[in-house]
Amino acid sequence: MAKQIFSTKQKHPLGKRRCAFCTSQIEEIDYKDVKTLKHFLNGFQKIKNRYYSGVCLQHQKQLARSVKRARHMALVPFTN
Amino acid sequence: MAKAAKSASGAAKKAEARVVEAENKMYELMLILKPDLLESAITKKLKEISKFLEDGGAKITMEDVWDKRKLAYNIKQYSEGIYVVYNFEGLTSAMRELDEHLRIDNDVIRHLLTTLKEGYQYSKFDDEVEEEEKPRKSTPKPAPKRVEKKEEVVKKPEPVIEEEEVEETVEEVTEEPTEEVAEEKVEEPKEVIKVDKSDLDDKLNKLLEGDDLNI
Repeated sequence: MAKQIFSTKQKHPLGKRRCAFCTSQIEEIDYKDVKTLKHFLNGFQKIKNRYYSGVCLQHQKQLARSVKRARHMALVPFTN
Repeated sequence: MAKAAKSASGAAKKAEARVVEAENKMYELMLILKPDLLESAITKKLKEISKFLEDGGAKITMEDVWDKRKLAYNIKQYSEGIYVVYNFEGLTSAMRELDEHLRIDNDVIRHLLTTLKEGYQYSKFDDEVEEEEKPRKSTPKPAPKRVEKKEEVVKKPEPVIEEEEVEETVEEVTEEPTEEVAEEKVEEPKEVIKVDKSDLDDKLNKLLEGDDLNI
């Protein structure tokens, strides 16, 4: 359950990609899982837009929350 | 009237549900301890915290101490921290005290208290492997090149003469050899460098030893 690797390759064109969390059947996004969180962060460590990452709205909200928690615990930087 | 009664009963149910929820909940507590604590001090601290939790009526189901880990940014001028994770079942009323207790504690740099959903299983995640940035490695190379250029300028007169000879031959031959000329031009400087490589290395070493080059 812990090891879920997301591919960063663009299989689908922008705006038509499927949610990575739905396909791997993750219900809750853990804030301790830095590896997966970093896939959805920008070069400036900002949270990527849903349009580019293809995450569904439900998971995007969870992701934002867990990223903010991880930032508070200094697992992920605020800015770069 | 009926609506009001319904809403009242609904509110009562909600209140009951809240009370039921308020009794016990699964929590996750994450702490960052100071990095300069000794091992004995860490164990003492953890015992204190677990005691505090159990006094507040909590059942600790899991305790995990991570290794010393780099922080993403400095907190109170510390660049490292010891992460500790607790999973416990506790009373909601005791959480405020816990929060204040941890906030006042000087050995705890930061803490985070979150609720867990039912069926949560703690799992440890692998640390990411940090790779050094490759493009920076290429920067030291340009320094020796600059030195080589100066010496090439001195030794150029020889190839220049050869080129003139080549051009004369080109005039005699048809249009095709322009490509050959280009190839020959490329080859000539290489030969010049090959001859002087051993000398160049000595000179370069002398130069590098003498001064600190700012690249």
